[in-house]
Amino acid sequence: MAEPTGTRRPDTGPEGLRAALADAWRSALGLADIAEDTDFFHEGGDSVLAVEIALLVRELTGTEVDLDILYDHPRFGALLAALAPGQDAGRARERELTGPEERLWAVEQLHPGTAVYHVGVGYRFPVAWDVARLRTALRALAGRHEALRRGFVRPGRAVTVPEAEVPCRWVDARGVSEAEVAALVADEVRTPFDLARPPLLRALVVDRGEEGGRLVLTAHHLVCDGLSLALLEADVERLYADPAAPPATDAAAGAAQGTAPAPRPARAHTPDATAGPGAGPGAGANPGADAALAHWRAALADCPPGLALPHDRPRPARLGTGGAAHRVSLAPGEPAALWALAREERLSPFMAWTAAYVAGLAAVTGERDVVVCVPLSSRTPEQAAEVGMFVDILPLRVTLAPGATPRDLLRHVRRVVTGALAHPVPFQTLVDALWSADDRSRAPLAQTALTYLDTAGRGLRLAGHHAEREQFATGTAKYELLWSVTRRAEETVCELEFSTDLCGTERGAEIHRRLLRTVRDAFARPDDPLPLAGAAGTAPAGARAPGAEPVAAAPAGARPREARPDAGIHQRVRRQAAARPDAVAVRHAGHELTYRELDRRAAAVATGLRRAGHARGAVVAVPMERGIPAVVACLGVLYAGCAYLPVDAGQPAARAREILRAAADAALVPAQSALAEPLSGVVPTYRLADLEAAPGAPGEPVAVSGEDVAYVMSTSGSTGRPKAVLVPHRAVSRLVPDADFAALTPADRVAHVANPAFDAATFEMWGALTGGGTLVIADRDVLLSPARLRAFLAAERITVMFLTVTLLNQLVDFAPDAFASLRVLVFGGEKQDNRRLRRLFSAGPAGRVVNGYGPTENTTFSTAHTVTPDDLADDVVPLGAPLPRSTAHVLDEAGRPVPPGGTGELYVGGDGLAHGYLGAPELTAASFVPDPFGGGGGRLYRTGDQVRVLPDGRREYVGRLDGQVKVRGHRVEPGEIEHAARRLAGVADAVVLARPGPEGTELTACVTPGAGAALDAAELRERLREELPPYLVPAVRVVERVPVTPNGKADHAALRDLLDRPDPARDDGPGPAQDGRDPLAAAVAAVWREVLGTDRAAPGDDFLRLGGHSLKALRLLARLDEELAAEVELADFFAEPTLAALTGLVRADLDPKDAR
Amino acid sequence: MSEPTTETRYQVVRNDEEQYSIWAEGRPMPAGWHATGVTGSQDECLAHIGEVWTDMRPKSLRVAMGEG
Repeated sequence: MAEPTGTRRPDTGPEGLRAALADAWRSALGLADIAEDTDFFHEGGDSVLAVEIALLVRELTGTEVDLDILYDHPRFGALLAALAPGQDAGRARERELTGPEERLWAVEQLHPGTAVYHVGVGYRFPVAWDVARLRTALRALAGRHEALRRGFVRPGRAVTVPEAEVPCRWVDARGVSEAEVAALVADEVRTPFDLARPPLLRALVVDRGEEGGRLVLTAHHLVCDGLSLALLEADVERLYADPAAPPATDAAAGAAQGTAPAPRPARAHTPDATAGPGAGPGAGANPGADAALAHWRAALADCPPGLALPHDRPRPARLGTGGAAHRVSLAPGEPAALWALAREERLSPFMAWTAAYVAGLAAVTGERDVVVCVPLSSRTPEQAAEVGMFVDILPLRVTLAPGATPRDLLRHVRRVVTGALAHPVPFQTLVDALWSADDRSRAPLAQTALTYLDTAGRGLRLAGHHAEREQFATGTAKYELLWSVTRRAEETVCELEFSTDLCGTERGAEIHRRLLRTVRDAFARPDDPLPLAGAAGTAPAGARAPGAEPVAAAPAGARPREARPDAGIHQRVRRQAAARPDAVAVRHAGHELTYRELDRRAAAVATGLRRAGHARGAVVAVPMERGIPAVVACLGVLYAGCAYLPVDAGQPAARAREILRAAADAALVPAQSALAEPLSGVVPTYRLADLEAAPGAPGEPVAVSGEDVAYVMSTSGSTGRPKAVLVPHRAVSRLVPDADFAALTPADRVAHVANPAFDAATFEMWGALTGGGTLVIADRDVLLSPARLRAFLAAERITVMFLTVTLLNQLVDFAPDAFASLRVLVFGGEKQDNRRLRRLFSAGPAGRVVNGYGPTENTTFSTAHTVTPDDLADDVVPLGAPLPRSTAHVLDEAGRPVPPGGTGELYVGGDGLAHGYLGAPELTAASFVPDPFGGGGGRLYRTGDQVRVLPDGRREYVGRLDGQVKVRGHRVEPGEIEHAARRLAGVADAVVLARPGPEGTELTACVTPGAGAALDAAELRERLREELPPYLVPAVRVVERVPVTPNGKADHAALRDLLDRPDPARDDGPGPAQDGRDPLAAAVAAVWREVLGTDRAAPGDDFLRLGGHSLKALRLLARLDEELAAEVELADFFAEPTLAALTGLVRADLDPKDAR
Repeated sequence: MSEPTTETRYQVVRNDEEQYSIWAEGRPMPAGWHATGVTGSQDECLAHIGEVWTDMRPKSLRVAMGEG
């Protein structure tokens, strides 16, 4: 630790030195008074006098100062400052970083050149002021505060220089608009500092002449915390009032300078401080430190790995520092209910705000267990008046028991806070001891923080006017969420700073409003259970939203296992045909088909199929686009008692053939079909027109039971083959036409926009036709143009429509008012975008907007929820209730119902269930499992979807439990590709990753070679191209081995990191030597082992995977600097944190020096 | 879907529709389901089902269609 190294005489105190020097200046310059900014040469001093003074200084201080020291420090104050103890007589002085500095420094290394830790404040003066006087006052600041002469250099040292001056920019803003001034200020507070060049404080004076103006101070948090700001304000006030004021602004500050506080080893508030110079943070091993750490170990045991923030942007691999803030001003004394309760429970304002924040977070995230960082001052009494960075943070973990009330929460927070304060441990020590660096997309221990500042009365009084301090946004975010509460004289300002990598500004604002609403409402009922996510801050836990089904309740109706004689879809359509033969059944581009015609043509098709020998239970493929022929064909297949298999007509013939070979007995093609020829070799293939034209009277439709298969639908399968889902008639009857979310009647005109091979078509086609309404077919070009789709909806007077979320989003973006005439709009297929829904609602929504969720295996929709404006205000659009005769359960891994607040896998059951997968009994048995809740031998389908149970019983979609992804709209199982890759010769193992890319989801297969095999990525990709349809063909990367997690599973995070690095197989040059005899590599490895506390050091070892993190990395780089004089940037190291890469960086840094 | 731990043992179960599935040993048998007597790892049980479950149609459908 850098103690002052000068050999000054012990009897020469700072005041003695000041007096003696002042005497010498007075006699040399013939002046009566020497002020701080008296300039030696301006006042007549010459080179001879300067040398005399320098000699006197040598005598007074006992140090060999340079004889030209006055040329470096011509001003009296600056000279004294340069001579101050610890200044090493005019030379820069270095020391280690304190803990709080180290924490900020680490952030700066990872995100260099950002304003994330800027402190930007301003003061408005609506009166004329003396700008020259203000600038003089500001200039004098740096001489008074060591922190303002402090800079920071790699790899992590604080350097204090003898002299610095606070730059003060003056801008003549007379007649300049407020907007321009705001832009100027924003630019001022966001421009990064060069941390190596003090002072890390600058001023901007926006001068508006007679109208006064603004003073803007920008400091870096590394040298200025909240209290420091108040100290600086006081100093500026005094210097403005009296430029010749004595330099020491007060006794304390004078003492602070005069006694030159040794750079603190940062651990003053912990027993670590006794560890002494050279001891690394956390190195102190004494009982007090151990006890404190033990407290935290217990307090943070199994703490949640992240904050369940309802963010609306995909989480990047590593969060940047981009941020925005949402600000709300509360009247003094608000929220009244919080303060009333806090007084009853004798809580400090800080504790009360902490409780408020926890209550708000629980309501926003639905989590009962949150960790919130709060600042903790590490100032000792001696540092009370010292400018600098003396704030560490502590992670408070607050756990809400089920049913906890606001009063319980306040008491719990009081315990947590007092416990934390009694066991101060530097935050980095906690991170070192308690955090494993597995998830680099999240900050360690806590991803959110709270600050509370009482600045009432803080500000600046200049020229007789008191300006309150205002804080400027820097466009950055330090945490995923940071709630700053500032009490001012006339208001309390609540500001929620959020990461714009995660949340857009709308989402951030919603979260904040919801948080505040929760605080306002919940504390008004101090003894009612606190709300968790979704309850709008009002519904007590345990209440149930209307229509929401209780968790694990029996289905509304017993599952009828017996077949119903007239349960066929086609039989219902036929009844409609009999009831209203002249009504229009299908419309397409001006062509109309009445129910009578539809019935006749379908019957003809059925007769043709039967004559061709296809009986009840046969599967007939229908590779057709949307259109009247496809509708006739599907109904005709059903009339024959057969099941139809819709096949996407747009896919390659080879894959269509494969699907048919696996599942179909015959195929029906339209008049002009390119598929007719290729398919005919697989199964008997008939042209629709030929069947219809067959002579003879059509027979009666074949009666079927509800258990007869109505259609077979193909979906991506992880086994390497598409899965063919067998959907019975009763499953469709449960969906349409009577489901309460969209009961369909003859008055309805239902848009047909879905691909027939997608099961939304089930809802459209059979919804319209079993309900007696009109199915209106939209062409592909209509769907591709929002304008045309809007025109289509209006011209065709559509009443009911289903849209995928993707299409809905597009339409909302370009024609949000297109839906106003719809009776029912159902969306689904992917997770909805609440922002689009809000826009839809504000533009004029359909009569009913329904979130329809469900896998194909449970027939189009498993749950449906009618979206309300309240949902959008709360930002929770739940899945809703199960459909009629259906159930939904959220279960944990052991198959037990998940309690409110928890997440689990969604299991669905009831009449919508498919029979299973054609020809895949093992897969069926694994996916369709016994239903322990309903009785009667029923089954539940495991959706693989992760769902959260909200406290009121509603359910919210979270994500997939498996790797299933959507690639360009296709449901894709990476496992399907892995299977294909593992089948290739020479491949031992394969793991497929889906990663976001510039053009949507990208698939990459990481393959490992079998013994003795040499693999070529390009060749492997070509071989996969022969096996898979184009959208499934991945990029290929050959890796030595697949990294595994402690649980033995493929470590996808590590593979992702691997993929982020350049492929070594593509490197042309040889890698850096990692020979054991290479002394440089050996030296780097030795430091590596030392810092990580490990015996191993293989070239490919990953620092972060071995428990390293940013702080350890800084230490590693500092040690390399010490041992090898090598300077390596943290960002460079983190770009590839392996030993081999590090050795390369060290070599690169050293080589030029060696060459000289 | 969550992977069961390697220790979990399953039994092959069947309902009155002669649909097959697997059920963790030791958990109470859901009403309407019966043990077939076959137990083993998940893979073993599923492999067994792959051999014995040859018609994916429920029994009631087969009966309705005039089959066994």
